[in-house]
Amino acid sequence: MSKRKGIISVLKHSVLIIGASFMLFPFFWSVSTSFKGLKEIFRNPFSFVPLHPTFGNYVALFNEIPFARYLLNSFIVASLTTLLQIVTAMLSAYAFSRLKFKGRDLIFYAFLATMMIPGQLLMIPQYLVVARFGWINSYQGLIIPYAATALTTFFLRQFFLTIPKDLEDVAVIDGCNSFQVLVKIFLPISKPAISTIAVFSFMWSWNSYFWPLLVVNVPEMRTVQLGLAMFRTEGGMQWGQFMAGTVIATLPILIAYFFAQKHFIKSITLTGLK
Amino acid sequence: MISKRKKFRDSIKGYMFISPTALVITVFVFFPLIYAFIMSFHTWNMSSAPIYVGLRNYTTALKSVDFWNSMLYTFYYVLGVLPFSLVFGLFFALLLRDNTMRGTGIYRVIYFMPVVTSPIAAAMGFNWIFENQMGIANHLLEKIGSQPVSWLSTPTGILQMFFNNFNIALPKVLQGPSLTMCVIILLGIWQNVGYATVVYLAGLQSISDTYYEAASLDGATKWKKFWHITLPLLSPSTFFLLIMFIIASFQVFGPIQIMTPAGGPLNTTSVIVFYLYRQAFSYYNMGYAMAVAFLLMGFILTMTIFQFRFLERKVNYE
Repeated sequence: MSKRKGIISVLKHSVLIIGASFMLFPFFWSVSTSFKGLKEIFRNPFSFVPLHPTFGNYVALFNEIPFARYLLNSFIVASLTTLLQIVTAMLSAYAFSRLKFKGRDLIFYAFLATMMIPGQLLMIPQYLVVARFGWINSYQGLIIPYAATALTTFFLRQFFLTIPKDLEDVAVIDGCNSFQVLVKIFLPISKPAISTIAVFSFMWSWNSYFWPLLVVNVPEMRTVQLGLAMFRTEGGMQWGQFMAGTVIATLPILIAYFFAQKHFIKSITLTGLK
Repeated sequence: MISKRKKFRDSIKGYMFISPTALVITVFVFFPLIYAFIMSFHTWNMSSAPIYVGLRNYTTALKSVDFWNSMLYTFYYVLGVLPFSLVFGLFFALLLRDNTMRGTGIYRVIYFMPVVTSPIAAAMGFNWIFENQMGIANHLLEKIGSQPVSWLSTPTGILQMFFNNFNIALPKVLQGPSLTMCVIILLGIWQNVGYATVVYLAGLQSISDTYYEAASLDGATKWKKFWHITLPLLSPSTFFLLIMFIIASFQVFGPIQIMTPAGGPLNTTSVIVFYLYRQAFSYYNMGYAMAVAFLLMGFILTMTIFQFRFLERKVNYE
C-alpha cells in the first residue's frame, strides 16, 4: 500500500512539475533572452541560458527609449488611482451600509448595474468626454475616469455590513460625527479589505492597456504597457530589448504578488475579484 | 417635525458621502452609456456634425461579412480558451487538493503567476516564443526534425489543415481558428488556468468529507465518487468561472494587438473588439463602432442571462 502511495505521489509531482514548467517557461525565456546579446539571440542552435550574459538590452531600453518615464507614469497613475478608489469607496460604502437617505437602494442597484457593462462600449464616449475636458495626454485623463468604481464600493460595503453596530454607537455617544466614525472605527477594522482593494486596484491599473491607448498619444505620457506595445509595433525586431521591457513591466506586479500571495489567492476565492 | 428635519439632514449627509463616487460614475459611465446609445443611431466621423440614420448602423453591421467573421473569430477564441482552462484548472486543483502533500503552496504560487501578469507582457513573451523565424518553438521543431511553422502568419483554419490531407474543403464556419489564433488561444489558456485552479481548490475545500465517507461505505469507486460527488458539488465554481471567462474572453483585445497588429493573416484574428477599435480609431466610424459595441453587449448579456436561466438550475448550491 505504502509503495503504491509512493508511486502515486511521484506521478502526481511529475504531472505538476510539467504543468509548472509550462507556466514558468515564458517567464524564463523572456528573462533569458533579455540578458543575451544580439548575436546570441539570433543564434541557432540556441541556448536556454545566456552564454555571455549582458545588461546591454536594459541599458539600451533606458537610453534609447524613455522607459524610465513610462515606469514613472505607470507608478503615478496606478498609485493615485488606487488611493482615490479607496477614499471614494470608503465614503460611498459607509453611506450605503450605515446612512439612511432617500433613494439609497435604488442608487446602489444602479451602481451595481454598471458592473455588467462591457468596458469597450463606454470607452469611445469616455474618450470624447475626456477630450472635451481637455484631458487628453494628461494624468487626470488616465486617473479620474477610474477614481471610483462600483466594484470597490460594493466590495467594501459588503465588508462594512459585517462590522458590529455597537462599536460605532459608543463612538457616537462620545460625540463623534459620521466622518470621525469612518476614520477612527471603520478604517482600522477594514485594513484587510482595504489592502485587498489596494492590491487589485494597483494591479488592474498597472496592467490596463485599452484606456491609456486611447487617452495618450504623445510618447512622454505613455504608461509601461503602452510603451511596451508601441515599442513592439514601432521597434521592428529588437527582441532583446522587447524582452528586457517585458521583464521590467512585469517585475513590480510579480514582487507585489509574491509578498501578498496568500492574501491575494484568498481574496480571489472569496470575492471572485480579478 | 423634528424627525422630518433629521431625515432631511440624514439624506444630505448620505448624498455627500456618495457624491464623489456618484460624480465619477455619472460622468464616466451613465453619461457615456446614454451618449453611446444615441450616437449608435448616427453616422459621425468626429470632424463633421453627426447625422441621424436610424437603425442603419445596426443593419449595416448585421449584414456585414467582416462583422460576422469577427464574431466567428471571437467564438473560436472563447470556445478555445473556455473548455481547456476549466478542464486543466480542475485537473490541477484535484492534484493539489491534498494539503499534506509537499510543495502544494509552491505549485499554487507558480500556477497563479500568469494570472497576475499583464496581457501585454504575456503576449510579448508568447510573440517571441512563436516568432516565425527565430522563435524557440520553431527551433525546437527543427531539433526533432520537423519543418518550421509560420505560427503567426498562417491564415488556414486548423480543421481545414487536417482535412487538406484528404483534399476536402470545409465551409468557412467549420474551418476552425487559424494557427495564429490558436497561438493566441494558447496564451489565453496559459493566463486562465491558474485562476480556474485556485477557484476550484476553494470549491474542493468546501466539500464535506462525510459525502465521500458515505459513498465509500456504499462501495463507490474513485471514478464514481468524482462523477457523482465532486463534479456536482463543484458546479457553483464551474458556473462562476464560466460567467467570468465568457465575459472576459468576448472582450479580448490587448494580446491580439500585440501578436497581430494588423488583425492577423487574412484578418483571421480580428476579434469583435479589435474590429470595433479599428472602425472607431482607424476609420473614424464612431456611430457604427458604437452600434457594434451595443451588439456585443447585447450578445454578452444574452449569454449571461441564458446561463443564469438555464445553467444555474443545474448548479448545486448545497
